[in-house]
Amino acid sequence: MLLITGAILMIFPFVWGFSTSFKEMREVLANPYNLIPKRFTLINYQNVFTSIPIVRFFLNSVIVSLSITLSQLVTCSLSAYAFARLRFPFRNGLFYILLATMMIPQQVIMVPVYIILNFFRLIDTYAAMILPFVSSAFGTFLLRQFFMTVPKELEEAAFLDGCSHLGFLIRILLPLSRPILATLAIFTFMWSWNNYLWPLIVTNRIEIRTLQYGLAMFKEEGGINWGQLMAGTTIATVPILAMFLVAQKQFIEGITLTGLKE
Amino acid sequence: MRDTKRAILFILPTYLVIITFIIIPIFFAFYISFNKWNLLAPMKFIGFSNYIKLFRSEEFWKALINTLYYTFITVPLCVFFALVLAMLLNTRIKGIAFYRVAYFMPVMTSFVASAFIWQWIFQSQNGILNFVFGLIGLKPLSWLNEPKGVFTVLFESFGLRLPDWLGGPSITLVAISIISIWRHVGYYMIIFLAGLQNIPRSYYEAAEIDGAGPVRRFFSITLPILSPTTFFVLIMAVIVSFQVFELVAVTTQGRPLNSSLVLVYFVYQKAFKFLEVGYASSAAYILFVIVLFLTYLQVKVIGKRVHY
Repeated sequence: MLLITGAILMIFPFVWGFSTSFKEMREVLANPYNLIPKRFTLINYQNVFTSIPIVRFFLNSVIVSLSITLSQLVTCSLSAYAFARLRFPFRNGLFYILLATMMIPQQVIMVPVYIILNFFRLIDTYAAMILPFVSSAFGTFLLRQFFMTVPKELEEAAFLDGCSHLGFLIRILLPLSRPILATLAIFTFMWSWNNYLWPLIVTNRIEIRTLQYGLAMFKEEGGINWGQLMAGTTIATVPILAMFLVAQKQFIEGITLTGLKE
Repeated sequence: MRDTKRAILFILPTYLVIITFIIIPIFFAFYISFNKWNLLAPMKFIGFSNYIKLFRSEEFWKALINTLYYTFITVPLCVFFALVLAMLLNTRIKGIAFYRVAYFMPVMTSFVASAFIWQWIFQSQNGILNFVFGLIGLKPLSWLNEPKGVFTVLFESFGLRLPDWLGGPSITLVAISIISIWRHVGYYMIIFLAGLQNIPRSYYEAAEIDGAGPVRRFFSITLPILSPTTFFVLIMAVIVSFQVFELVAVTTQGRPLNSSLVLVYFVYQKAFKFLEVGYASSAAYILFVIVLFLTYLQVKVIGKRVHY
């Protein structure tokens, strides 16, 4: 049925790319359409590891993505809690301002942010890739919506027992929010892992560039070695795919949560 | 109030980041757009010159038109397929989990990775698309390197020549559109699916009893109840599509002949390759205004049809 064709269309590019990564150059040119290589080879993968510092890139991506994800979990939880539960003047106004910033296209602010980072001599550092994303309006929004669904009785009971706001947050609310926290974590990590434009702009040194850039580097080498390119692409994609397969359910639930709570 | 001090502390990290990296930059960008600057020499205030230069620039208009073409191809197709797929998936068939994963896989990949894979598919000599074309007797196309418009090529196969300006989006742009649709369909599909599953079965059953056929049921029940979701998806799709960058940067860099130049790439080029920062900023602001305007339009037009 239609669905099956569609599914095949979706997966096919991956499958083909994957199989190409195992073909020798000769076969890539002669027999590009076979799904099963006549001569299975790992040489492309070997070359990938030797021609570009892919391990370094991989590590950089991990460092950056992990830092961003962890810091967002912390900062967004704090601010989401404040917007959801605490009372203070201008609370709503401040929240709407936060929401509005989500609409700003990245491209409008990328030049000024670059300049600001430059001013603090932070260009070409890990900080440049991490700082602007230490917190996010999106994360705050997501968590706040969820926090608001938690019954007030829980809090009141905690306060009666002498718990502070922070204590309540850490010991009760957060453990309760595991699904949504996981969703935010996965989203943020994935977004950061796949981010190409930003690290491209703020870094120059090869040593700290991230995986996506490393991948793009393949293109610049003379004629395109498709087998190698596919091998590199596979390496870049497999971690995310693996994460996804493992955390599927929560991930998809997370998206529907964001899609509907308008 | 007692909470105020605590609240300030709690929202401080987030707000600090937002103020430093979003709010200040917006105003700063606005200011820059009225200046001439290359990051080295001091800024030179030139008033509206950048904007005027922009409107006179053929490149800029090309970028704008391409982005519009791209949006008008990608968004409707993407949303349409997403809706159809979601509806198909909404029936109780086996293996729904498998389909969900399959369709969502492209979304997980980075733009760079998908761009490469598709570049391989679109390849003129060895790409599988031309191979399939050959099988069904169509002439192979140089997908990612073809500046001629879609319509031009279509007409050519009948031996007719179309004037350049009627050529439509270039084949290259269409190719990039295809990659984009492939990548985003799964995401919107999942959102639609969730929206569909919110519609109570009883509505459909009642309609069936009243004698309504499937088409009627779709238009009278599904579509209206789905409208907030559709609305959300459309707006998101348009905003995202206007910001296309990675696909172009990795595959064609705007070639050939600027036929795949899109707005964001234009801004990127001017700012980071030519160091015309003021100029780039003004282009970025135009982009911003357009996105705001389109969102506003959508809210106005479609917002009216949204039932809650």
